[in-house]
Amino acid sequence: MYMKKIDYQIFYKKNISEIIDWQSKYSWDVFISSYTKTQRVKENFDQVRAKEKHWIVFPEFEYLDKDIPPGAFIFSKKLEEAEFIIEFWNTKIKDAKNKHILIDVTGFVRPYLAFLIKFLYLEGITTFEVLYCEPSHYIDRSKTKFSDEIVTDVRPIKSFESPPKIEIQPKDLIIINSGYDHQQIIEAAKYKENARKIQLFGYPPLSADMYQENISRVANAEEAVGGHTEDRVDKIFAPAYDPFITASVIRSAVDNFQAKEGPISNLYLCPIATKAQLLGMVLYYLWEWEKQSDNITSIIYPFCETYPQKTSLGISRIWKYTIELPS
Amino acid sequence: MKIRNQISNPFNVTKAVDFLDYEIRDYWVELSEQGGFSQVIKPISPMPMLILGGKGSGKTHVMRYISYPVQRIRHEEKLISGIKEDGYIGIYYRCSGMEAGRFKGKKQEPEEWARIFEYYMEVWHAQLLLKIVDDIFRKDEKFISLEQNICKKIIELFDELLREVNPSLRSLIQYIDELKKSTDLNVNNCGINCNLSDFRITATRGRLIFGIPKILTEELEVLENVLFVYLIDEFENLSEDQQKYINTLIREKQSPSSFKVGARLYGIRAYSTFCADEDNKEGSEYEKIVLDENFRKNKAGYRQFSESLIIKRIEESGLIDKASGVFEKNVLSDWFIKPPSDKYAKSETQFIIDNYRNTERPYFHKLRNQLLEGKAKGLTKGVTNEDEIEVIINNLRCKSLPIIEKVNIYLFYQDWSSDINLIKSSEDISEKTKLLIEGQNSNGHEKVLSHFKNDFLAQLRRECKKTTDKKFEDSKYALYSGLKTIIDISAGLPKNLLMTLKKIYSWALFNEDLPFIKSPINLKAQYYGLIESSEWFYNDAKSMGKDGDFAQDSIERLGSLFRGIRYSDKPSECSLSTFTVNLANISDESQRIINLCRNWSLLIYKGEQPDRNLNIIHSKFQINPMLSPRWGISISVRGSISLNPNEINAIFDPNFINGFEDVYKRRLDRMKAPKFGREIDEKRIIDDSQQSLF
Repeated sequence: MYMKKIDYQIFYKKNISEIIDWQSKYSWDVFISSYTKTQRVKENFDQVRAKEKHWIVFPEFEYLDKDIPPGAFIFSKKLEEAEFIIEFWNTKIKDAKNKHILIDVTGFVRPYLAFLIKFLYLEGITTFEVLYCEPSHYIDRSKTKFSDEIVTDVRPIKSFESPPKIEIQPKDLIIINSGYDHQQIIEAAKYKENARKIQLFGYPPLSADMYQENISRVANAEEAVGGHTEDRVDKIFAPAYDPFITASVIRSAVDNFQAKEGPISNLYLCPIATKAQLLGMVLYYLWEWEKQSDNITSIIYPFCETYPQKTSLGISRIWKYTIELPS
Repeated sequence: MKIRNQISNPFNVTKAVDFLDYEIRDYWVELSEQGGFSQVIKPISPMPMLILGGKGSGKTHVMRYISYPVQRIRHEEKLISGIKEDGYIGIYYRCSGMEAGRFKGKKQEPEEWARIFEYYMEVWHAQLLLKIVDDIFRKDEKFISLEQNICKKIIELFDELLREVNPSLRSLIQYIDELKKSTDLNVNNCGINCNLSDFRITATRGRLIFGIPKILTEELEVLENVLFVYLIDEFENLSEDQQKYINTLIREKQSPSSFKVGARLYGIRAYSTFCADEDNKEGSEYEKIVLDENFRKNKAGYRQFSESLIIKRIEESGLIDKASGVFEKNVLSDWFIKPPSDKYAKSETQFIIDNYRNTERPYFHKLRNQLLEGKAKGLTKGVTNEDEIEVIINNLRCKSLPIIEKVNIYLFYQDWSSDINLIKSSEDISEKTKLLIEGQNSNGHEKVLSHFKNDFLAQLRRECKKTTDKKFEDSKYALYSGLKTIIDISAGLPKNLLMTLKKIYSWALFNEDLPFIKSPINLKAQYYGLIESSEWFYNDAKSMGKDGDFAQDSIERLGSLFRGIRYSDKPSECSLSTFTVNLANISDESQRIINLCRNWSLLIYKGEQPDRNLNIIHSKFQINPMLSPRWGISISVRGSISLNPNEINAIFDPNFINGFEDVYKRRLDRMKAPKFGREIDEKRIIDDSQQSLF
């Protein structure tokens, strides 16, 4: 069923905050970041050495004109994630083949990030680097809001839609990467109410207290997610900061599920935790399913209207991942 | 016997979607009335049906029960003869599974999407049906001998073939799968390359959906009188145009096919069709059933069904031995403790007698303060000094029956609000109380008690709170207790019943009870289980988007108003849980939000009733009883208040909610001593009191 299985552990990651003056040791041709008021994002933008630097301003953050840095990419009309990213690329980048690209994913709105990775893949850019900055802590601890918590739509992220499989007795599975936003978790679970559900948690978390905070929020979604019977595995764990182990854990979970329950009809992945784990889901999708003739996997997302401009304080670790996509 | 930490909750699974197919069969509970579900859902009736209902009404469970996978389990080895005996094949699917949201936008015109969606549905239905046929007949010799002929005829249904197809069922299924995949790829990739020009429609609407069943019944004798029922669930997941397409199929349906469409109450966006935009009409093109309404209309039947459902869950969980026949309906209610109830609520109010032997009961303390305030404002006719206040209070006492004291105070408030001499009022009430105690007729008391008993008990529990006292605790928990209450609170939605029982059972285990095995479920477990399930319902019923939040806030305002009235000095209505409104006179936005609340089962529509005074028809709504514990209000439908347009708009229209506080105050002031809503000239009171100093 699968392509030759890749060992995600071979991918390269480094905690560059341990390197004194890391900013002077690396440089890139193109640097892309999503503008937010978070310290960790702004500092990186200033400190990274790159020939071109691009801010993207996502409309969901509702920045006032005076707050937007000069030259940042904004778009006046409401576009879906695919149209928006394509518009950004055609306006600001145009051609980046053979260029050394760095993307700071820290401040990105998730569906746009997922599509950007897919877009790079479709453009033939299969190697680039990613920065991810962990916060010291979230602004309101376990009560931190990561969205307006008003979910307006749940749907597959553009270009991550697989053809639904028709079965007499469909066996669908959804893996929800559960972060703090319990409302998004609830809506994702309701969207695929008939699917079996597995929750993916970030463990080890970004910092020790964050796991407890996460669990206390996720408890609000307990009834929607289900997982009532003792013999059904409904929780899996991967480090919140590691996209590669995340991809590997997802693959194991899917394999184990199918070994126990039989072939999955439709597999849904829902990334609503850290951006690092979102990367893991996207990597898993692209490496394991993109080229499959019987691709059964979709990445879905519970869309909200707005997201807070700032959710965290301080900087903990800064990770640099080298992303390699299938050619 | 299971030890405690091995006991699993028999009510864990509350949604049909969490059941495997064999569990749908094993956990099936038949309706004891109306001829059972087969007479309600009518799988062998050629007339299409809309099966509507609130969330948790059982639509999916019923549709899955008549679907092919469960038919297959029911008939096991004798599948073909079983299908013939059933008289139908249930071709079931969920609209959420086809990701219908893909068929829009991406810079394509709606007409183009409509055309492609129509074709996709044709292919979708055909593939599902043929897979079922393959599953039924793959080893049947008769079918094998006819397979080639049947497949040739099916192939002829296509307008064109994109490649040669072998006349075998497997090849046909493979070919149709290719058509579907090609359509999917075009639809999905349209978002990036925006190009549907290569797309070819190879079958006209209805040709496969109706044509395949026709060929099968003509060619296979065993299917001669079998109805092919397309069971389309979660219809609300289709857009208006997409629903219009299904409506068109319903209108154009051909024997031996039919449809059963399952949808939420709000799920039907269109009744129109592509046949000159004609609407499908109930009774003509389809019949309709609203499952939870059906349950609510037939209370006795729903109670029987609920008890059977509970017993089935207990039996299937292994908690008790099914074969022993020990567990019967007539003992089920014994497993849910309910405090004894008598006419004057003696046992329920004993805690007041015990806790206030040497101190004034709180409601008299409050009345005393109100009389003092009233006297200062010149609102206590016949009362000039504090000694007279003492006389009044003594007249109203009935120490052995706190509930009668409450009745007395209520009657007193009535007289007070009518500006009657208060000393005389208290004396009259005292006389009538004596008659009552002597066992003689006291119409005023009996009438008030029959109406307001539950409200007064609720007030007593709130006013005389002593949380360290067990008798008070039991009395508090008794507010919602007993199997009948638990069933009634679910308001015709079996999922609500199961969720409530799930929570109650968890609390019972936490309290170290062993329900259905050793010890009945105590009041505390029932109470907290109901509170938790009420909270769950409040959050779960909400839909996505801002409307969901706003509808929830509106219900919160309404609930708080009902609570305020229930616990006021002189409630205007007893057991208040409903309101009436002239919908024509309220704002459009209020109408829209009320409709949303109704669609999401936050409000239950109770029909129409004429306004007593104005000869106008009002619509009546009840707050879903599942929400009653949230505000401590009644679950039954008795008293009802008529809300005027200003009040309704202040509750439901975002443009007017700032006025809610005023609305609330104005309503409640009329029920509050000492003013009872009367305007007082404060200056005159000050002048008068100053006069009295000289």
